[in-house]
Amino acid sequence: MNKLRNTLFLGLAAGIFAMTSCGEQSSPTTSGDSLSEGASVTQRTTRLKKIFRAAPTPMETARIVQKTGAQFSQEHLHSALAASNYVTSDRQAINLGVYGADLSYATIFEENAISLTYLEVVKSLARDLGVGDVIGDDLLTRAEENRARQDSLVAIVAEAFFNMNEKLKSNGQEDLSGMLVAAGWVESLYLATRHADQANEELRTRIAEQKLVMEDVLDLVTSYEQSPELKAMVAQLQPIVTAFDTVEKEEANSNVSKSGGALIIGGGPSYTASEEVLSQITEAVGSVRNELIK
Amino acid sequence: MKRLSLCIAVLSLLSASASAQCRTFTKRNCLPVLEGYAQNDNYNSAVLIAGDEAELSVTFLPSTEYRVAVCAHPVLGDVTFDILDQQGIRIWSNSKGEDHVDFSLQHAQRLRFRIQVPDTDAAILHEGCVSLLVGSKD
Repeated sequence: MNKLRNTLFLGLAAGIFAMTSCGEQSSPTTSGDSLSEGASVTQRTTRLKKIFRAAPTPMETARIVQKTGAQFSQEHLHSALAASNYVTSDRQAINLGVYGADLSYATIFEENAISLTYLEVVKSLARDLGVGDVIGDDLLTRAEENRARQDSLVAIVAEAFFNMNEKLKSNGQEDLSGMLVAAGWVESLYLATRHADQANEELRTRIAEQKLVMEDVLDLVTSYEQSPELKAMVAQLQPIVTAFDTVEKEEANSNVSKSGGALIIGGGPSYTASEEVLSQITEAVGSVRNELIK
Repeated sequence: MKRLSLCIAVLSLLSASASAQCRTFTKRNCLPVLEGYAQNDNYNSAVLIAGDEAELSVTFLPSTEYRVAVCAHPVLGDVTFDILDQQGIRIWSNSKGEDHVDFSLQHAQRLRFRIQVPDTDAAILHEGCVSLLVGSKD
């Protein structure tokens, strides 16, 4: 109890010291007191522009692939048995992204037994990476209890990955979060392109549009502090970047209408890939993905 | 020099504490706005002051219903938020004070969300958490 009191006192004293000693004397008086959760007074007077970066999730990509009429293909998932092969944190983060995309794919295609297996794999790899507490036993129990309800499983998987990314960032491991996101994108594109030779027009367009997602992923991961491992991973993606270079883009204006309170955003640029470009993308994605799971 | 090091250390601690508070604020106040939608993996939150701006540029895919929620601590006043299309044309703004917008797209498109914290003449500036979350569903 005394120790706790001393710690609190030291924290408060340090806060007051910092607020009164570290700023300019002419700045507005600040106490450092928290007004309420999520707000406090500040000494900062210069304005800033905060740029957030994000990318669509493997769940979103799996959803659009499913809607094109593509079939689920279990043989292309990464083997659940390989999870114990990854012993360094960069390999674990990369393969957590790969397994996360497999999990999303199985969940969207309502392969619920496979989803639960991959959720176990993700939990085990997350534990090895030091963020296992975000997928507690209660989450697994909830998943088991809701195994017949796809919307519940989708929500559980989304919650797990949101918490995992947040935890990695708050632990100062943004580079691992970047690897997870980039590998997840590669795996979701890998699954989307496995039957590209038989793809209908819609699936081909959806694959071509992934050029935009690739740019989001690269913007996101290069905004993080570049550890040698993250740098190496970004370099590994280069064949995919090159393959997408020749995807064609046609500019068009957007138009907006409303339906039941929601906006429908139509128009905008369209993307197309020829047979040859699609085959180059498929090949590049396959070879990069197979390197990532080594 | 020692004093400077101590200042840096303490301010780092306070900054970490502000980020932790922002995470808690986001989970309690923003995630519920996405009810019925699966949240995107990305956690976009920052501690801002009057006059600050924040921006998110991200691709949205077709055949999906999206909800983007913006929540800001009340101490910052009424934040405005706009959507701009890939050509930079404003296609929506929260003119009625909405804290979220629902939409879907016919083709994949990168949209830009621009958040503006209103300026103030107050002598004492407050900082508050601002979060932008993306949710999706079938």
